[in-house]
Amino acid sequence: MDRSKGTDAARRIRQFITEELLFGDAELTDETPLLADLVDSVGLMELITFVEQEFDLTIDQGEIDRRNFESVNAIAEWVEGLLEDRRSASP
Amino acid sequence: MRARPASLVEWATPEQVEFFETVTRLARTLTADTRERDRVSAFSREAWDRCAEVGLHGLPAPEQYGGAGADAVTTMLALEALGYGCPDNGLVFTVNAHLWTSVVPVWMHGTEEQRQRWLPGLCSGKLIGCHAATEPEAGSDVFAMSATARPAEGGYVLNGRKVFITNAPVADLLIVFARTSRGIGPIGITAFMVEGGTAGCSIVPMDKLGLRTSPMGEIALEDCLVPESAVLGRVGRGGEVFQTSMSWERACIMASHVGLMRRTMEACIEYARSRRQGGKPIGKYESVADKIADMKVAVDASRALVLRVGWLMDHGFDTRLEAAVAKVFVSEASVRTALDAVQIHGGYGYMPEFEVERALRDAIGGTIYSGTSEIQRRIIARGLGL
Repeated sequence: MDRSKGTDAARRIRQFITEELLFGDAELTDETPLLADLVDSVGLMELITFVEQEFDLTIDQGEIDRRNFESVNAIAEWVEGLLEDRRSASP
Repeated sequence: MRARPASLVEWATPEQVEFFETVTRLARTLTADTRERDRVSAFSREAWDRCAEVGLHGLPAPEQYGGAGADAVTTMLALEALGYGCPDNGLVFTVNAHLWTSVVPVWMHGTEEQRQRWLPGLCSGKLIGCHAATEPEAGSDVFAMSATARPAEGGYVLNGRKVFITNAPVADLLIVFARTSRGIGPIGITAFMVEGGTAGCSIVPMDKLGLRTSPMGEIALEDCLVPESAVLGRVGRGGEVFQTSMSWERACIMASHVGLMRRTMEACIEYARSRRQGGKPIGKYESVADKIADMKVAVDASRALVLRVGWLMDHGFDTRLEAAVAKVFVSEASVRTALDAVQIHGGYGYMPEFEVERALRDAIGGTIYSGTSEIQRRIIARGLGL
């Protein structure tokens, strides 16, 4: 499940969470559980808005699942999947 | 050394000072029967309508939609002036609720058609707005709400219960939050613009300790059908609409408390000068004078904290931390000030004839609405990296 580790998407997502949501907390790794304690509901909204803007995505509510937000790697995998889907769907 | 400015609003521009004084003058004339209406929990539509004389119902909204186009600092100073001049703290709260829960979200998240339809009426005060988010089992954890919105022919069908909804009994527009998907936390919640009187949306007034002249109600949504065009913002992203309201509300609503505290302090000064015990005015006793000195500290510090948030908003900065600091400090200072005012007035302070008893009841709500003091301290701790 670590296939996104170290990808550019994971790096950008980790940087956003660390700087904007955790105020520079350096303890965050790509596998740190996010939803249990670190990212609150407002942070979650900001994170999704960041993902949409950073990766030029429009995300439908039906595409948002708790499992995709459990860690930086999970988000990165999900984002890469969405990007792949959009690429495949475009003419 | 320059002479100290004589104005009440030392940090403001001449235009802001003039507006402050204009609003104060109007506010002093708004109601003469607050005590009687407080007793029976009656809202004054007449006083509400008169707030339109200085554009209070649409303060920060753009002028093209009928708003006053005021920046955050000007908005805060106007609301401080309203709180200072108007003895009907419930009316002041109703104006605040209207601004932050309907005018601002429609302005910030509405389509052009929705803005054109609703904002002129909301900004003129012809229409009254509110939002409905809190539920019996979802208060501080508001995104745990269980009200649902099911897609149906012609739009969505809303079901659920909402409680503690300020302005609901008199609202022409209710922004109702409901789940359109399971989602997580705020994701999957959608904001709907529901017209007052829509079938399936019934409202029962609620009684309360303070701010009794501000109408509050419980809402029952029973197969309430709203058109698709009622969606405000994006489907499933109503959390963003709610957050916009809360950001503005937490930043601005304490401005009126600064005015209320100032009015309470001035009433105490007047009483402490005129009331004599032991052959001298009670203000000559340190135990009384010190309380009033603390009120002055509270008023000045509160204004500084509130206007700092306004300056940050006007310059595009995130204000979550500073707004939480202001909310905790001002709301708790407001309760302390009112409590001391009752003590200074002694037995008279315990009676409704003097306004300080009502000021205390009205102040307490400030530590609860828009996020309790406990929630604000969590926001502050998180902002400190804890």
